[in-house]
Amino acid sequence: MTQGDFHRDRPVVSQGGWPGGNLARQVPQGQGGSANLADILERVLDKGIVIAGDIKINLVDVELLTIKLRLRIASVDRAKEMGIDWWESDPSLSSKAADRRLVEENEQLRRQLRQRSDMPGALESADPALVEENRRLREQLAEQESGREEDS
Amino acid sequence: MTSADGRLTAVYAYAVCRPFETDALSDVKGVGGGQLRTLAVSGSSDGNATDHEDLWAVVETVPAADFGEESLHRRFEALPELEQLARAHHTVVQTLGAVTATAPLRLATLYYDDDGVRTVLRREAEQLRAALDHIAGRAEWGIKAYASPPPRATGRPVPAPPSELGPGSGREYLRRRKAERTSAQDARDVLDRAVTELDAALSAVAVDVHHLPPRLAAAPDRSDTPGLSAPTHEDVNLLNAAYLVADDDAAEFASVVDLRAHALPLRIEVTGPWAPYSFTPRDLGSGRSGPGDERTESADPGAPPKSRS
Repeated sequence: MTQGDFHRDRPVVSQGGWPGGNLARQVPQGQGGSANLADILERVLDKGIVIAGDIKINLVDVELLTIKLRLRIASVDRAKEMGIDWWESDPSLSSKAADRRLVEENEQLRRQLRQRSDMPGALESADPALVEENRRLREQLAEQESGREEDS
Repeated sequence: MTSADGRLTAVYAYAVCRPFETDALSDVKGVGGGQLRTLAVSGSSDGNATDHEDLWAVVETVPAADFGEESLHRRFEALPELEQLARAHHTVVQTLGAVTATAPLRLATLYYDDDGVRTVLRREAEQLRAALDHIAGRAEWGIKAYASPPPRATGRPVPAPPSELGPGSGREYLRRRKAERTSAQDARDVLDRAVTELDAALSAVAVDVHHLPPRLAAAPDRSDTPGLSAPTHEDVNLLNAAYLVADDDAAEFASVVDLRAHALPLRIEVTGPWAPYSFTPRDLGSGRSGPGDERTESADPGAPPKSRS
């Protein structure tokens, strides 16, 4: 086949490819290095062997989920621009881990607030940052829940 | 470990592979900007020596300060830094994948020193060899399929057959709505069948297939569209899959894609060849964690305590 076969009259896009155009492995399209970041992250974050041992750092699934969730909250707009949106359809992330983490954080914040409000006049003096964070977490939680209902 | 200038170092491991001509790596920079090295292991897992060192790891000595748990977490949270790290890791893995059977390790796999890597290679030698056997002479191809433009109805109403009822009547409206709903359902069925056919045709050529979660938006062709428009019909990712294809069958695989792209109402994106990220085992049984128990933390007595942020 030739490269032209891929591009005749349908928009079939090819990316990636072995670097250096190594023809020994039958490269059907252009050189590497330009692969889409979303495609790369889909592989380097989620795939690859995890070996335990005399190991310094082992980014196991739990931590990767946390990273993804933080990316989601911190830079979702930028990530979306780049086409990184795997969390939208990652069931473990969108409907389980994210919810659970937010629920836990919210619970913790509620407990802290409750403890403070047990003290006389404490609610007025509650840390405004804490109150604000609690409000934000509630909103995110509500968003998550409505998103999950739409999914099902 | 400590480098010549007294700084603490760690060893970043990229992949396990079969022996290759190391010239291939001479122009490649690693995640820490340093020189890439290979570590070789001989012998079987039961400690008996074999004839040759057939299991290699590609590693890089990196500053421990830049690759400690805390600094890595910080770097992973910033997209530009994550991108830089991921691309550097990927470049090394892809370079290896082009020249030899390569089993990528998870991003940011770090050891204290070379001996730590060798110990793991020896301990897991049997499974690592099996993993390399599975992918030798094969590469991963990514396929994403979307509904082909133009969508079923580009603003055109479904043509209404003649009716004795007046155009403004309620019954006429309901009849038209029903026809539209039926038409939409038919279109979905057509797409479902097309995806099934595409997947089956590709799987027939491939050695192995791995279905990934579908994407919501089609990113690559949006550069000319400022701002993010609402997802349209064509943005729905119907199939996102990785296929492990023998190098000898790569041309046939491509022609199957090409043929189906013409015959089916799908827009098909091909990426690859990739190093076989999706076709290496995620976890090698170290004997400590049971199968399916992915959340088991490493229980090494010598492991440093994890700092939780």
